[in-house]
Amino acid sequence: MPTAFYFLSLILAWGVCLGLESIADEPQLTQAAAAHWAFTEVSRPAGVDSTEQVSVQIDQLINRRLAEVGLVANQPATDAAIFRRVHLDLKGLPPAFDKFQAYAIDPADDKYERLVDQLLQSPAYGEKMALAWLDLVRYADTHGLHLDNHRDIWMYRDYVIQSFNQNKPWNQFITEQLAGDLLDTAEPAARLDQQIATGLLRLNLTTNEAGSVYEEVAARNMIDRTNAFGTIFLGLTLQCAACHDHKTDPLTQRDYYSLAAFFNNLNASAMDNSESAPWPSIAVPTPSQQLSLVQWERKIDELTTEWSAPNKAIDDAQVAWEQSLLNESSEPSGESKFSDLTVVGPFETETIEYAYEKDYASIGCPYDANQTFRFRDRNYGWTALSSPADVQSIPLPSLENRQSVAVVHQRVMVAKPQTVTFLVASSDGLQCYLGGEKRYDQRQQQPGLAKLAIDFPVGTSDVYFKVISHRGPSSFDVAVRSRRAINESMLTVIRKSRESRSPAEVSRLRQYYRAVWCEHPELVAIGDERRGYVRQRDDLLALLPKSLVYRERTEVRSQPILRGGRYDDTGEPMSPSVPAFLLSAERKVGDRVELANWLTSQQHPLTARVAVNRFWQQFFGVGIVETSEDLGASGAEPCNQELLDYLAGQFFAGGWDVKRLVKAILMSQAYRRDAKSTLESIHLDPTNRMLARGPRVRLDAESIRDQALSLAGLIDLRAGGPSSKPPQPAGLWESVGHSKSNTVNYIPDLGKNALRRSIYTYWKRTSPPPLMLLFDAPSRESCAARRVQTHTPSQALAMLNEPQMQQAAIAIAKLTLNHHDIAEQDPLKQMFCRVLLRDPSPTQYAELLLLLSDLRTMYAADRDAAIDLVGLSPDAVNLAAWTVVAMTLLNLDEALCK
Amino acid sequence: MNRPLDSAMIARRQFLSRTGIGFGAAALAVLDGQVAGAASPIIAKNAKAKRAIYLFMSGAPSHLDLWDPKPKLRDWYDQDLPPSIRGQQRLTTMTSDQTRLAIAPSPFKFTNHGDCGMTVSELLPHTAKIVDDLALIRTMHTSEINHDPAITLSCTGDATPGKASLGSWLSYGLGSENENLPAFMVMTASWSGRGDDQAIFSRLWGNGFLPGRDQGVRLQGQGEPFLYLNNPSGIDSNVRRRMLDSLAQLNREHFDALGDPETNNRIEQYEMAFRMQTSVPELADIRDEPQHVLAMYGREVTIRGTYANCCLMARRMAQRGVRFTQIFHRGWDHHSHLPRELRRQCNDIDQPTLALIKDLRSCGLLDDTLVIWGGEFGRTAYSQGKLSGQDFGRDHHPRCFSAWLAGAGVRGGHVHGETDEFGYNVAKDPVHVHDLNATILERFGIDHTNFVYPWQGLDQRLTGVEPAKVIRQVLAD
Repeated sequence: MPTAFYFLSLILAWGVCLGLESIADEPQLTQAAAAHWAFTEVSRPAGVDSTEQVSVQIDQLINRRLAEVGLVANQPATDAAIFRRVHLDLKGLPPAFDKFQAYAIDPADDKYERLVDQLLQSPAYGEKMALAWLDLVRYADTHGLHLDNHRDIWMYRDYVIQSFNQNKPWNQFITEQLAGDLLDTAEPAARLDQQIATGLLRLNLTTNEAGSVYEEVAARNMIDRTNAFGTIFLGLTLQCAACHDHKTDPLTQRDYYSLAAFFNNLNASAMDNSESAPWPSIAVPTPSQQLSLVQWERKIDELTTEWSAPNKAIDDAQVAWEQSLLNESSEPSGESKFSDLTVVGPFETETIEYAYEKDYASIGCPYDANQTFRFRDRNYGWTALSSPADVQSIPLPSLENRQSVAVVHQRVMVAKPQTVTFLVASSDGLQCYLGGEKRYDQRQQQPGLAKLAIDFPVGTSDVYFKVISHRGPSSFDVAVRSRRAINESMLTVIRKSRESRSPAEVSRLRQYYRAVWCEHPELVAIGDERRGYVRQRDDLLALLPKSLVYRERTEVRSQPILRGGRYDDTGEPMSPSVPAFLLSAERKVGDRVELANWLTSQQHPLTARVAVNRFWQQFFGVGIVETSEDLGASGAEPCNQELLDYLAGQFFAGGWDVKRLVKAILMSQAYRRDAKSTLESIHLDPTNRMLARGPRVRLDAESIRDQALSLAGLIDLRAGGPSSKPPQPAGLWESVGHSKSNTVNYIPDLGKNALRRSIYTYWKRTSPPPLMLLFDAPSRESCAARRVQTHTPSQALAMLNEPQMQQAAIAIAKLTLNHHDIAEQDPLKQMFCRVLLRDPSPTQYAELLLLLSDLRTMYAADRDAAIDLVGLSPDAVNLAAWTVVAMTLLNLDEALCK
Repeated sequence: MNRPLDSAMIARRQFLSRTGIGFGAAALAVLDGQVAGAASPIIAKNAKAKRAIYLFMSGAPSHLDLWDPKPKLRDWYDQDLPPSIRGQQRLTTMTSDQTRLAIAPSPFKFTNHGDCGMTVSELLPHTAKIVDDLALIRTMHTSEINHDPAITLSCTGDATPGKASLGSWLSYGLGSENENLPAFMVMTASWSGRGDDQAIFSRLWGNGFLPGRDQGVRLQGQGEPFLYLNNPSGIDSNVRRRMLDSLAQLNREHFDALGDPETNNRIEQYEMAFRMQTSVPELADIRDEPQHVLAMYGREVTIRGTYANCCLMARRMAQRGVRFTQIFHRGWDHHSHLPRELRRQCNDIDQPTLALIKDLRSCGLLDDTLVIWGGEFGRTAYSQGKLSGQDFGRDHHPRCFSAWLAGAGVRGGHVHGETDEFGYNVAKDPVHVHDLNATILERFGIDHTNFVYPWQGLDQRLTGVEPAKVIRQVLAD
């Protein structure tokens, strides 16, 4: 029944929607909000209770409430029911029947406890536990917006799974994800893990849509990260305060942007550049790859040294070259002339493709040193660049973390038609234009200088170099192999006698000669060899699996308040700090490590409550607070706060030990009760919030598929690695995807890869795996703390007709028939036990037997249909009938629920 | 109201609150004086529409070349857009680099049609025949300047992904009228314009925070009409029926043992699935359509997945009580070669759109079926890239664009709102996409301000936080 309080909160919430600030400004509300139960400290327990004591306490706190409302707790569930329940809860996989038989005859009192301990050690435990976390943090394999291209971040998923399996303390798990990049850890493997963990802060949706306004996208990303932080760690709806002070929780807009400031310092572009691993990301080699990389680096260093070291043959060639230059100087001057370099830019570009396609500045037109260019409401003019003769990398104007273009100009005058060789290099992409015509096009950094021979007509020509910076900073090298292009200071050195040159001059001249002029086979060979190693290294690096990580900018930027949440309406700049109403910090909380420390402090009122509530939800279907995403004033009241607080206190006092907490919950009588309901118990507690009955919840999408594949012996249990693509109906991606997206075509995996556990299924955000969506999985576009279950006929159709479900049914039929030959058991009972761990009742048995015999008759009359279903086999009719029986069992309500 | 709940009623309430589709009405139902589910305590009243069909032109069609003639722009050919018109408004970064914003007048002829004399482009000769049924809004505007956020805003009421779509709201609030079909169905049509066009996203028909049963179900243009609809090869409907009989029997026994109403619910879903295996093929099979009806939709009507085919399907769904049908037709993002590409796109949609309206009327459905036509934003009056003769492109333009409504008591032949002489700003009567959505809900008898779902601390609604308004002027009654 809606209470008066319910209507009051509705009115308040409508007030929120309508922006009726006056309602929320009532001092009473603020006071009430500050006194909200979830914002008060959890009282510290006197001591750490043993697991057994915790279980006992759980039951006492639950049973006391049952007594109050007059509910009688159910009896313990049967061995079979609890065995199946705890397997599905801790592994997401059904148990094998023979394991259960051994369990059933085990007379020991502690057999259940030993079972729980054993399951907690299973590698499948991490895979099951990770699922809820991945929903919560919106983990997916694509960027989520516009092109929705692939994203390399599966290592983060594996990090989460491993963290659960290692039973990483919850405070450490939080700290690594929030601040892994800032932690000092000497051990390389842990260091790598901590980097990967920061992928959490890169799970927001990103775009590279042409036309996007950069600042708007940057603001959206920041808001997405901040809101996610609120949902994931605080269990609060921070997002309200992006536009105005929170109306039901005492969180101000200043608080919001102070929190946002922690996440506003990513050293990266706001756009994803449509790349799989937009910077910052790390490449993770295998140990043997790592060894090769080290060896190649060493080789590259050696060859670099050798390239510039004294070498008799090459130095002799240099002497000859110097001599020829000195002789040439008698030639008539003015044959060719090279102007000084000028540069204009940086011009920001929205996509890298545009940068390569578009003309900038006066490319294609005559040069005018005084011309200015209007670009995005700003003027840009030519400025001088330092002399290029020495082949040094010249820094060019660029934009930090953004794609931009700089244009370099050089004017060349020749008296007679001739070919001039330019030697060029750039940090990223480089294009060269003469008279509007593109003469050179390089789209990524190349090792060494590229040779570029251009035929010049008589007279004056303008050469434009367009340098495309993929992320900034940007640099450019150019040299011209021409007597006329050698600058005066270099000529002075050449004219000096060898003895009178300083060591610096010797080195400078040698570098210049070797880089620009020398074609001595020995030097060419050294250069080629070095280039080969560089290419080999770069090719391997390009192939290595990568993972998005968080890296801080060196220069910390503040986060201005965005008025009304509007990106272009900035107010006072805020420095990182935490909202005082939750837990006022003794020391300044200024970076993400300190943020994690604040969050995992034992005095923090929310962190432990939020976590414990969600673990509870995982096992009982509903949390102690039903709105597990919102423990704020507008969320639901806890149905048993004493219990929640007790568990929260034990959780942090006991060292944030997840397995210990899970074990205590699963050891409780409440968890182990029979799920039977009566009219009376439904009457008193329709949704079983009081837990007089054991939890009875439909399996999650992933477990439904994994169960079928597992019962059929088909499942591939290999852990980790890139996501897999089981079959899905044709055309799902194609019919929505952008044709330029790299995830527009779905190519299903073949063989074992298609049969991996569902947590490894490739998740494209704009078209998620259909089976998962049908069974209530969230789209992973926003943070989801819980899945609300529904019943639809589409689910029934999927269960009945999805090809892998069918494959599983056939495999179960085959297993049953084959096994039967050996064991001489009743195959029907055996199949039933395989799925449900118990014997069928006499009426169930009779029903199935009748079904089997009817199916045999039907398939005997239509043998072709049997072959269509199970393939060519002498036993096709029988096998087909058994397959349909297996399908029936997989679709039982009992099989679909835990 | 305060009488003790009897057990049957508890079971029924629980059933309703957690049930799937197909049960007459969901959130807005009043059950024994009680509100079921977590919905807001309101009842749909004075509903003019029982169902709606949304023809969504993804990519943003040019209002200037279709619905909003600006003859004076001919005098402005290749001249720069006056800065006073642009004002301080932002441009996309695709044209903010351009040194010039050269006006590109529409090369297409506009003529007056119908009794109302509405002016329509020569590209839509068929649609022009039914202008007396259309309420045209020339002053749509949106807050977003790029496709992904703008189409997400149009379809879910928020540019940030994660919210519930319009159809999901209707499914949640009103349920289905046909227990053998979903309340919300979606089709993605093929298109003729350039191949690489804007993506669409399953979030556009996603349930967001609403229950999963309210997500849009796609009628597919290839393969099975519904995901997993067909029995595996080797299982015919007799085998399936026989199997489901045993399944139901076993589940009933399980219910008797455990007493969980969810079990009965599951039995019902399997039965409904079985019925859908008949009702959906029957829906998708157009062989029963008379020749003159097929001819009305044009030659492509028999090709699955074409816009013409989708329109016919939409009418068949309307007949069968599908609450909300949405057709996404892509290919309208004309940054270049607009005159050529726009003609192709209009060819796809023009005749079938006319046919849909006429067909709905002849079936007696137009009176209580709302039809909506529109995109996510409009296009600029100036050319993107070089304006050369009759070839040009237009960039994104969120400041104004056109959409129309038909059926369900909208004011046919009415033109709402005026844009300035450049088709750049709204001059009179702006209509935000939230207003359009509020108006759509109004037709279903739903007050958008009260139609809420509590989620993440806020009573979420389709029309957002800022006040939105129903556009009464486009409604006849």
